[in-house]
Amino acid sequence: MRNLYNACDFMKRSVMSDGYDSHGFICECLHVSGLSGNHFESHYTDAVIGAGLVGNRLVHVALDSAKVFWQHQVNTLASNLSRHFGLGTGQLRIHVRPLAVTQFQLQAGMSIGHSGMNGYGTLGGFLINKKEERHFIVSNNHVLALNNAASIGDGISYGNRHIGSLAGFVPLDYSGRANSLDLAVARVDSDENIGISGYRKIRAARIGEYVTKVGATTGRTYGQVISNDYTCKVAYGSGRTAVFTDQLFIKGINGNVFSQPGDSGSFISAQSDNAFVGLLFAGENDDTATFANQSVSVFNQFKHWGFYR
Amino acid sequence: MIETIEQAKKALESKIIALNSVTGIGIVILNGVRMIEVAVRDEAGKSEVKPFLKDSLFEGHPVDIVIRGVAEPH
Repeated sequence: MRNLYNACDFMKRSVMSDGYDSHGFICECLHVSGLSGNHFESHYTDAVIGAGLVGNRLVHVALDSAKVFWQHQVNTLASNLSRHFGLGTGQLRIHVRPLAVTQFQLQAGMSIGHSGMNGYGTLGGFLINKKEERHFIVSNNHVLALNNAASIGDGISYGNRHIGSLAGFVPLDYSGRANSLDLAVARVDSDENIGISGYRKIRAARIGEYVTKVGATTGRTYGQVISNDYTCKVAYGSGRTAVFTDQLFIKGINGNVFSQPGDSGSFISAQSDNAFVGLLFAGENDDTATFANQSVSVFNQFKHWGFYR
Repeated sequence: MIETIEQAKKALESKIIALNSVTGIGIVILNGVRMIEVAVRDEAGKSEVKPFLKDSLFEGHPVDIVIRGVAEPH
């Protein structure tokens, strides 16, 4: 049994690219085709793309089909591996297959933005319009709609990848009148793969309760709701300032930062029951305070847009 | 007559627009004490806001003044 583990560990080190013995061994085995020289040696060093024990009885090894061309190479590798580790008949299986490709999936916490944006915000979460059977991304106006400058139908991107189009936003009011939301939604392209881990209930945040969020800049962080009816001024550039009332004011726990630029659009959840309590949209420039729209206001806007009846 | 901390907060709220130095106002809980927090741009802002806080109407409502700049979209 020990030999099985040794063989598996040997092949795993090759996958991890630090097993020089493994590389040499594999190159030697794959050279049986008659091809030789340094060019081919370096070509083969990452031929192994997977290794593992199956049921503690069998070593599975996967070879990259782009690096291995002939069956007798595989046969020689199998023979030499078995001899090297004393493996019995049927204890080793070698497959030749293409390198696995990661499947792109849209998830909450990813960095997204309007296609014409310099910078990024965060994909907060998804809305599902059951009537159309379409998914919608939820984030901020300043992330998806460029502080009112965008038009419905504009492209929304993840890096250079187009993922959807702007479907609606609440205009920011810079006149001094009170705002309650920095909110926008985008329709996701129908062929995109959506990663939804579950459904959230929506409720108001309570002063003093502990919350968490996953943002594109700072990842998962933890904070405490200091106020749930805070009034604050937010500078949106070009001399424009918007006043927001009835906002959540959140501080990071133990002096840690709760959010930084790029985290805008994150859904804030209560730690106690995972309920959606706020939509992150602003913070102090020294990162000591985070401001978020009340989830109840967000929910009412969703209803206004016709997502709920 | 202002009698509650909510009324005091509402009365101060108009200052956020009227006074350039005021950047935030809210009812907060600090060390278990429910109070009003007023955020101002700088020390000069503090002195600008203090006369309003000295108003007898706000007596009995603990007020914490912190220095904080205008918030930015994150």
